[in-house]
Amino acid sequence: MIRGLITYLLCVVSAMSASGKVVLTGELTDADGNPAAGVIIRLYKDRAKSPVAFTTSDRSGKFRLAKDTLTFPVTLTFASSKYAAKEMTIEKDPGVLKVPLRREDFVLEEVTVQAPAARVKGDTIVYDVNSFKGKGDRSIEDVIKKLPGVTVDDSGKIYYDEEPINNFYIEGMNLMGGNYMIASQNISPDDISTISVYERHQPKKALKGIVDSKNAALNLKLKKGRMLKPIGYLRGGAGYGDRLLWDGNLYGMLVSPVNQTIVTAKGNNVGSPYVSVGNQDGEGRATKTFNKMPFGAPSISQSRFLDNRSGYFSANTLFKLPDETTLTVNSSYSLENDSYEGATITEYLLPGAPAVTYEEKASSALQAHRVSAGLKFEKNKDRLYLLDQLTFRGLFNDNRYLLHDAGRTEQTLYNHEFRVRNTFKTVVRRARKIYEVSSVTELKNTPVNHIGAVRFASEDASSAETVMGQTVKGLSFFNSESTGFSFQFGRRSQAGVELSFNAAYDRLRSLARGSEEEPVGDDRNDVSGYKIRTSATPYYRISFPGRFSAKLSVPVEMLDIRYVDALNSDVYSHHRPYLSPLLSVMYKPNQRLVFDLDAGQRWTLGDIADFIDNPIYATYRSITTMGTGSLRKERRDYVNLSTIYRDALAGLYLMASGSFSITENNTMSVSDVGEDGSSVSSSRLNESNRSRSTMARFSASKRVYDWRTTFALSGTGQWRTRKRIRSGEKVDVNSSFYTLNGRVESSLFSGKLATNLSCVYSHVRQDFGGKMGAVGLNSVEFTGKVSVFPTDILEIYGDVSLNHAELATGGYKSNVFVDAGMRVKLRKFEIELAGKNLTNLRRYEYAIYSTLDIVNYNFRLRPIQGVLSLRYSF
Amino acid sequence: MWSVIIFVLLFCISFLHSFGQNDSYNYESTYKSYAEKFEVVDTAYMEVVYAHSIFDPVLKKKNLVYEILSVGNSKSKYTDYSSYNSDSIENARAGERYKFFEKIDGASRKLSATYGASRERVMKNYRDSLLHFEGFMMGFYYYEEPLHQMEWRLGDETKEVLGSECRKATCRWRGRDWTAWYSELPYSDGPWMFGGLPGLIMELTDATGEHKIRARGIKRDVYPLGLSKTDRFKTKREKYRTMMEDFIENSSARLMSSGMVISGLEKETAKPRRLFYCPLELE
Repeated sequence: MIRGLITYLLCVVSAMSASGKVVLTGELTDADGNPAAGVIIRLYKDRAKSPVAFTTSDRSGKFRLAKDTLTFPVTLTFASSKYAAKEMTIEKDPGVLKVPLRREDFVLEEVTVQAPAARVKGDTIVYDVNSFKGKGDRSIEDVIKKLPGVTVDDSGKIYYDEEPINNFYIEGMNLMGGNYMIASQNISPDDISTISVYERHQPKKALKGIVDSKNAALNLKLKKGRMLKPIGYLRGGAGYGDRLLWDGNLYGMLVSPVNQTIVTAKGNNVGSPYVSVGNQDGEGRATKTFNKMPFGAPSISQSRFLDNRSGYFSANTLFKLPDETTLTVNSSYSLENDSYEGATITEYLLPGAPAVTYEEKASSALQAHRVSAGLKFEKNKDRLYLLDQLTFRGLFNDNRYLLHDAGRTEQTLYNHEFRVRNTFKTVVRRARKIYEVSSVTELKNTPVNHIGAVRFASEDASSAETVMGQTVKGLSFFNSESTGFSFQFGRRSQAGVELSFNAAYDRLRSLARGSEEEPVGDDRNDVSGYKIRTSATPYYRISFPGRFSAKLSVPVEMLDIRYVDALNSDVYSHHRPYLSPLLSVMYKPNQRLVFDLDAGQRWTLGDIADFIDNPIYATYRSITTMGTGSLRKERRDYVNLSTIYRDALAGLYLMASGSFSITENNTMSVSDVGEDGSSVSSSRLNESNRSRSTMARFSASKRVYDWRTTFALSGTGQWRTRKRIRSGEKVDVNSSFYTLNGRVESSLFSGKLATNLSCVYSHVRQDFGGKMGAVGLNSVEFTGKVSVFPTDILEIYGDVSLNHAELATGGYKSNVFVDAGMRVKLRKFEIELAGKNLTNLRRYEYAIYSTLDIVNYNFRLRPIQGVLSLRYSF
Repeated sequence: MWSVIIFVLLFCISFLHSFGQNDSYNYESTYKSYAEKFEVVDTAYMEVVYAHSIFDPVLKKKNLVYEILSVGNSKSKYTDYSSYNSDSIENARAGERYKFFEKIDGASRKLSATYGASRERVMKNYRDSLLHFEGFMMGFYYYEEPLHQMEWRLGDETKEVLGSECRKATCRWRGRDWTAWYSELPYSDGPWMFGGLPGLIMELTDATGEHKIRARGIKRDVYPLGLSKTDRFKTKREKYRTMMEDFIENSSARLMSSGMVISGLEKETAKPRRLFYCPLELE
């Protein structure tokens, strides 16, 4: 008691004697006057957020706080796990403070857990979205891009370990199939809790643990509360560039344990086409005959140069039925009405002669309608896999190209294509036996594919004179049946045989002059016939699941070809077996390291195109002769080696790969150029052609989770030799290509600053065995994206892209793009002002090598533009 | 018929019994079974899991240890995960604990493989301002010293840790320069011996980067807090450090000289080797 009194008196005396500093003493009690021990007392100057001094009350509830160079007023706070928090402002020296506290237990609101950035469970890596998400990320694709080993191309296609993913799941269900970009580019990262990467994913349960896949799959897991209610957004915007701009988008998704539905409808003219208008993947031979962008397109985003009017609608739904069965319906319609302008200077290199240069200016107007629908039934059980998928697709193009070279020429392209395909697959697993049956039936019809060109002698439309007209029609029917049987020898080895039967019937007709009833000249084709490939592939596989697997297969393929040329009744037949042995080895010494080796021989054999031996116009000034009248055969001996080291927990990813191949081809490309370059013809010649190709790649990335930063470096080297014939002379073409790419992506200051900086250097070089001068081009491209978040609701962002490229005409050209904008988020609403091409760069110049030609492009760009949009998320 | 009725009754009883067991957590029975083997000193009502990254500059090896701070009314206990598990004898909540760690780590089955060489525990007694430290090396040793002797300097910088805005404080403590990030949570506590700040320490790093301790999970929980009823040898801090360093460098020799029977094979594996070690105190 006496000791306490002395302490108390000393405290009072010291408080009174102190000058130039704040000294506070006091006593804390509860409502009953009992001492309040262990209370944290924090001393603040004014309204500062950080305390300048602190102490804890002793067993008798007393405390003393002193701070030099501090004057009144000050603020005291009292915090304890047993008493209610209290705050008081002290204006002047209060002497000894008596502070009563109210008894109240501090209650921790909820369990707080920081999920690890990555978790590894066998071949599955689970990434926590919050650990990768930046404040500026708009869709889950922005987060996916940051995952180690993942790359996303411009179309939204996702690659893992350089291989495309084989499935994109949402809550374990594959609704979108290959069209998953609709989901990945629209789902908000705020709705997703984790992204799982299923490495070497075998989607068929019946083959799990037996047949490894090289491809991975991704699975998005929704946050709690995001299921069983519609999620998505509605956005509308307007702006101005050189015309009035508009942009609208509706995206809705509903996920429940038994159903998934995604609906989207959108349209814009702000420069964001929904379908890549030049993409001809999956088109039939007859449709592919004519390039939709025959006068070139710059290698930058189409949003930079396309004046577009685009519309898109898609509805997709998946029903989960009993017995692990799903039924999926997909449908979509797109409309593109796009135009762009560009000029090209093509330098045709000639052996022993000066190069010929040709200049051309083209305005292209492209109109494309695309409609597709699909129905899929899938049963995926441990012992039974069953799939039947029916799809329909229709393509309708109507393009116009206005050309200025020596005069004024207009070229048109008009085509339709319809495709119907049915795919049936089943796998039955009984004890140690596995039976597989696969059947694909496809009908592709191109009823019309026509290009025409007229030249105008004057501005008067009536002065038009027909330059050329070329029609191509095609019909193809394809059927593929395959079955397999295998037997497990114990748990680790398996032998089997795969049998397949592929039959294709094709008919291709072309007409350059006259009508089908009354054709003129010999420059027409009418070839039809079949190609049947029957193959038996015996194989042996040994597998230590998750550690080692090796597969040796020796496919024996019997090729039967019979094509008839209706114009001269020539018959082309070919009946011969081909052998293509293949060895694949995978070794995984531990969970982090994997080696892959593929080596073998592969035959690639020609088709109907080899017998289209009369010329077809590709454009108004270029003619192509597809075939030589004999079957094209290509034998490729190759070896590919790759190794990947991945430590997901440490965020480290290393990849190195190399490949080498020798290809023996029985034909050689021939290209001839007219005297002034105004006409070009290409064809093939029956002559042995050996080419070598070597490629080396590496990629390294390190995610420093604590810094929320990813460092990445990758490089590629490619070397290739082959032969070409230019103007009657054989030329050895040796080309090499190098790239080095560095990238740093970071989210700093608690996410208030997000940056993504990358720099790519590339060098391409070609020499022609001394017959023509060697050529080389360098280019450097720097891109920087910065987002600043001054407050939680405001984002200010800017993108800079600098392309410094060497031109074939000499010197370097720098193209600088600057985009910037700001976004304000107010709960479910988001207002965005987006500015594009702020430097108002109107021309884009660059050069490329096209084997024996050098092409300098100069394209018109969209002008500076601004769009104000409002988005509501639900 | 009777057999059916008896079966149904038994089924219902077993169902209700199991339902009761899963649905509620019986502190009383837990306390009783705990008290048989442990000296109960307090009741914990909150626990904080820290991920402790340790780098041994001699072995050039990194280790990740999960450590738990159990906070009671007047005492707190800091242990590593394996000690925490062995101290928590009551199995009924093992699944719950596992789930909590799975949320934090996702690979908690591997946690036991990641610990350091020694099991050490720190018990802080707020009421008596006393710190009890004990470590295991061929037996338990302990010493006591005054609580929270660090002299913290408060800073203005802020940082978010586990969803809480934290403020910076620094100090030099027994040979290392430490930076702590403390939250508003009203506990003057933290990892290992650290505490004495005006809020719970959420992150602690030393300037060399050899130690980094960061909170990974916090949850409410009520369970008995104590130390095992085992023989302990009282020692002094300096002596404990000397003994520990010697043990780390010569663990196999100490093992063989302890009088334990070593088989031939184990003798082979008991070749002299330095154990993973990176003390938090250098002085």
